[in-house]
Amino acid sequence: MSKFKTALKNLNHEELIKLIKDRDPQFLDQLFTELNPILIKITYANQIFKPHTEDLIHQTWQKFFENFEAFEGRSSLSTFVTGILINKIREHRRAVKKFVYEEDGEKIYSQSFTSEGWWINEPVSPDKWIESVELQKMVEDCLEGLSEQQKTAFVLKEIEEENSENICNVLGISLSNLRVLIFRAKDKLKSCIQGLTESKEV
Amino acid sequence: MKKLFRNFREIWHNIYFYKSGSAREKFALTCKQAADLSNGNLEKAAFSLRMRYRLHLSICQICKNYSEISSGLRQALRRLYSSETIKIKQMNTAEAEKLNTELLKKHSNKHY
Repeated sequence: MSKFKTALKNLNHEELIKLIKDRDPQFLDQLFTELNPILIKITYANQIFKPHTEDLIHQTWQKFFENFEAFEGRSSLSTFVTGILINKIREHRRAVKKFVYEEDGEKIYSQSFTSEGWWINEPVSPDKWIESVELQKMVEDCLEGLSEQQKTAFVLKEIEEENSENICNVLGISLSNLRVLIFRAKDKLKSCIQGLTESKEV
Repeated sequence: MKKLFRNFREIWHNIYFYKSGSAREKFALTCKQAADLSNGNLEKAAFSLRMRYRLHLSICQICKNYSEISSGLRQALRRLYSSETIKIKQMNTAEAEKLNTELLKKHSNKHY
């Protein structure tokens, strides 16, 4: 954990709100330096790149400074900021007329296994499509079908190799929620790729 | 050959899970426990738990399929995110620093 994060954790809620309210340049500099890299990663995970990345991050901080008094300290500051960013990403997707997906719950994850913990819908061998040279393009197309949280969790874990605790902290979710998000992300990608592979074979 | 291995693994899986003693049944992970580990905190799990996971994969074709699917998706995603077309669209360090400076100018109490 960085020194700044540790210092943030040691502050009580009133002190933190005061620091934000005062707009102290040194504090803000550290805040932006600490949180912007993860915000940038989240936009990439959602396939949003330059110049939209800058716009969305500007909008996120704008919204943060307008609404920081609503921050009650129940989650971490980074969770609060990334929550705003994810909403901004949803708005952006709606604006560019991309479908916005609702989150799937724990129920769907549990429905994949029997009560004893065995697979109900067994994953079949991926031999057919795993070797495909077009897999990368298929994954790119299929990523569109994932919700913002699923994409963020999946990309942060698999590409950025962030550890699970960090991802949970950033997204404000439990480890069991993270497992569900990643399971559903893989499941949706797999089904989408299988569909594309089969439609090409016909 | 691959089919032979698959059949062998399936037979071993059945013996291991259904026909072994209760102590061994407790040692064996269920598919859900294996999937939980693979989607969650495998890297941080205790050595013995990781071994039990590996053992489960070695005897369970279905979880082996799931693991291969996961690793195939991971590789494709890594190739996608390291491709030149995507890299060029990402912010470099200088651009990220510029963004921080712009935000600081906009939101701090200091007038630049």
